[in-house]
Amino acid sequence: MRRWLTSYALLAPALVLFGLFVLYPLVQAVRISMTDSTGIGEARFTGLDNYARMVGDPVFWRAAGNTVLLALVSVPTSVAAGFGLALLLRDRLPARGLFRALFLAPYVLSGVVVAMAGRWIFDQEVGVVDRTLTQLGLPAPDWQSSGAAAAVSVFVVLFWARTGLVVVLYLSALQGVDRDVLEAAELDGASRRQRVRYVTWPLLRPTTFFVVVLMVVEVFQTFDVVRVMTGGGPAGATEILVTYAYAQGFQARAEGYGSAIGVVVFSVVLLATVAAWWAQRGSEEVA
Amino acid sequence: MTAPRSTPSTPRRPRASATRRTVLGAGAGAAATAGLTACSGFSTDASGGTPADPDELTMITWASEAEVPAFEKLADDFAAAGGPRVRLQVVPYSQVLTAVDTALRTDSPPDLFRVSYTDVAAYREQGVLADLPGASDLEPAFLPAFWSAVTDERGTFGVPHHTDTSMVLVDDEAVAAAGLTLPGSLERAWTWEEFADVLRRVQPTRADTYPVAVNWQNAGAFRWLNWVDQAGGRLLTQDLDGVVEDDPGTLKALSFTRDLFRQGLTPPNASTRGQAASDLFLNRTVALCFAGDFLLAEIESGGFGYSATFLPRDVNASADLGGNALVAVEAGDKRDAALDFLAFCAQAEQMGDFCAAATVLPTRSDVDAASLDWKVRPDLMELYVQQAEAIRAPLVEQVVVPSFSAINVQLRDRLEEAFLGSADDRAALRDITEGVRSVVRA
Amino acid sequence: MSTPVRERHDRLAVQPGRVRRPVRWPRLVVVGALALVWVFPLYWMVVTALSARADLATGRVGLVPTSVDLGGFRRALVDLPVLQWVVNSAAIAVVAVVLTVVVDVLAGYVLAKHRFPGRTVVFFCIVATLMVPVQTLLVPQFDLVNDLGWINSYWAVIVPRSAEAFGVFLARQYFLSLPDELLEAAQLDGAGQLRALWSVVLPLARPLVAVLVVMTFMWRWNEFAWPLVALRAPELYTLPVGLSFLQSQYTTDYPALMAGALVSALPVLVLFALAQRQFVAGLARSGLR
Repeated sequence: MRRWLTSYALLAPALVLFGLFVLYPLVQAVRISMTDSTGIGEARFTGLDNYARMVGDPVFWRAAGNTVLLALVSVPTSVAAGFGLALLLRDRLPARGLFRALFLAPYVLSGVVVAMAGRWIFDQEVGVVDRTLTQLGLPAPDWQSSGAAAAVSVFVVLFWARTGLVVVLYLSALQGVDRDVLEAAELDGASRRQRVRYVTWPLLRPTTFFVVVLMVVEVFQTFDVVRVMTGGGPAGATEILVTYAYAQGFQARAEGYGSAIGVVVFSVVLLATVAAWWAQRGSEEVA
Repeated sequence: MTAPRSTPSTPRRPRASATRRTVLGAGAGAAATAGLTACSGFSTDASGGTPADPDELTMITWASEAEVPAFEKLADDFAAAGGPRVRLQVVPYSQVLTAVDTALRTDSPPDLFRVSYTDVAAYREQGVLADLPGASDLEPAFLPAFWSAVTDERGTFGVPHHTDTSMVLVDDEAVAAAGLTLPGSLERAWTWEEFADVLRRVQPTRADTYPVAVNWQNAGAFRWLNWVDQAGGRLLTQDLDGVVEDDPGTLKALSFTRDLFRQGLTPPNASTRGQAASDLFLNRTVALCFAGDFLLAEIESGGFGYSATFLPRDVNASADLGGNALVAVEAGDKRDAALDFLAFCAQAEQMGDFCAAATVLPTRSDVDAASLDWKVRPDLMELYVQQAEAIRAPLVEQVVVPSFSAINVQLRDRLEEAFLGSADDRAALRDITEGVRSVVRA
Repeated sequence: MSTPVRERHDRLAVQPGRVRRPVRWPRLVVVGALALVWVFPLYWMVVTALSARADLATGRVGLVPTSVDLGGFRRALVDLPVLQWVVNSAAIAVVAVVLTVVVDVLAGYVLAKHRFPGRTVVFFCIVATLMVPVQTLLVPQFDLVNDLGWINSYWAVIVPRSAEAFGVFLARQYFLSLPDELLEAAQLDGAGQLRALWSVVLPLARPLVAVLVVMTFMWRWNEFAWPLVALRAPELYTLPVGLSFLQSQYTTDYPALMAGALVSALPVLVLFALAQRQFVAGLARSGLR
């Protein structure tokens, strides 16, 4: 049918751009990952050596664990907090638009700006958080030198930067929730909490799926905040896969190895997404 | 490239409208220039915003506020002496390796760039750099340690432009309060024991300050090897092919430096992946810090009194090889002109002027460092000149091997674990040697 | 706890959207407190930008500043050619926005409303590109752009990044949420296709366009790593690249950094404020399906 020719013709600009500027470089990245490239001069083909090295590299596994942990912690908290904030913000609230804008404001800042602000605020010597805690007589954690505290500081900053979008998305979705259904539930004697849990939340499933996809993608692209706030330290406590790939590729001059790590990240996220999509297929309409 | 500064108008001008017109005019002019340059950014003739001078040489470098004018003076003097214009491309320090590496992959690589002694070998090994003609004539004028950093059996690739090293900066107040006298010469530098004693005497009463921070953060991780060399140890074997196992000197150095953390003499975030030692000195978290002479201008901005003294010594007095070389790119089409510029920069007078302006040390033996007109703290620079005499060949040869970028990253990461962890010294040392061994290339 | 009967009565008795509801003070207080905490880092950035460097170093700055030092703003804005960088960033962002919006709206529409073989695979491949770490592609993209001869021109920054998978994803979700009947007029064969797109689809996609404009502007304006390697001439630097010079190798000039950061954030915040309603509407529709 001519129909689908037209479709592909209209898709052509996007296809060309993606194919040329993303897929082709990705193929090149895979090729580089199979060499001993240092970023300058000639590189020798080494097959799967870099991948073998990865398997035996404790730093890699630690970074992988940190990345997964970050995802497992930050995605649900952003979703839950965003949903909660949206519930608080919906109807019957003056200046709602202003609040919405305030919560979203950190999202539009660049990652580097957020990271620098975070680094400054959490500085364990002169940062405002520790100074305030000390004045209040509370213990002031070592945000840069203690592994757990460093991880928490990174998590808090990321949460601050990203949850705003979730709030906006849920807020908009909540406005579209059918009132009649809620009313019926109310009349049936459902408490507010029950209404939210058994009526509102399920109705927002598509939004939740959308939000989760967004948040997972954001987690795996986290780079600036970790690099600037903790540099992956102390002792690798906050090293995530992307920062490790960068350190190997651009600082240690192990371009092939850094590339291999990136390829692994991509593959794992891809497989996970395919798996999730497959699982979702049963419950959602196939678009 | 410095911004054009609009002339400030006199504040109490009777005709305010004229002032406003001037300012508006200047603003419109600036905006127009900006706009025109922006429009040219859409063209793909790779010339950037300014019309390309075909004979122009481009040089990629990082440069502190003090160094930019010093480099520009070199370029101006070279042009005045009849050479082509040298255009500086200043990039942020943290990005310079990436900027250089990517630029080298293009058809119009930079003609020149600045590179540290620890990174230059990687480029040299790949044949990226141009061989300096007449190198053997130049060689005698230079101090051998620096010449060896840019030379191998195939030739000399670039000129050792300047060097710097570290000393111990001390807060004057802390010194007075602890009743210390600073050693006046290299021979009388504190021993490790004396140094530890000094730290304990300086140990402040406030809970949030510490005696010392050492400058081994991030790219400076290799400065930990100073301690190794001071204790008579070695990281790499004599033939530079492998790593020395269980070296007693290295073990002693590791033990001593870990004690700094274990005894709370240095803050935990002064570890190798932590905050710069000079930063901690500037915000008064530490009373002593190890710092290079190129930082003096920044430390001055702290506004408090400070002095310098020599690095502690053990079996040896050993200082780190800091500083950078200027190199020319082999594949550049203006290679000969670039090499001319290098030779120009390597002359005694040029080197002296640059070092004085940037507070770094010359690499030529015929440049009398003591007679240079240092821009900042000439009294301390005299001491740095003395300290630089302790840059020893055994250490230098270890830090200029081609795989040193990777070794530096290993040192940074393994030392961080050692300093903040609780493994015993021998196990920590083994982690370090294992890590370094995994990246040393024959 | 409000009584159900009274609420229902209220709802039935009054027109939707024109309601006088009792203000829930406890809720307002809670939200207000949360908003204050949320906004505090931004407030602190402003305070830092207006502080003297020496005061910051010794921790002498209180929560409410008693003196204002414009040194940070001066060092960030006057000593550096910020105007040039702003113009460069703006030129790039504007062109990139136009290009990306066109590409993404087209692609999103086709992927949502057309039926053709390979539809799901294509969409999946596009979304998959979101999972590749940017750093991994940096060098290969550089080589490619270099071969195209675009290095050191704005096209190097504009074109490769107009393949913005996120935008395609948003667009597709948006169009999926529009009922097919609205778009029937656009489903004609032949030459009428483009005209139909223009006159039927585009007006319906206004909120989507608002979202894409704000997001694309934000992404292009904030980008750092790629413009740094793709633009070699200092006169072409974008704002984030230029401001990175404020971070010296060893010490951090926080007042200047924060001043630069605030100035850098301003255009995006302004754009968002202007387009807020459409932006939210566009996101809402995209999130519904």
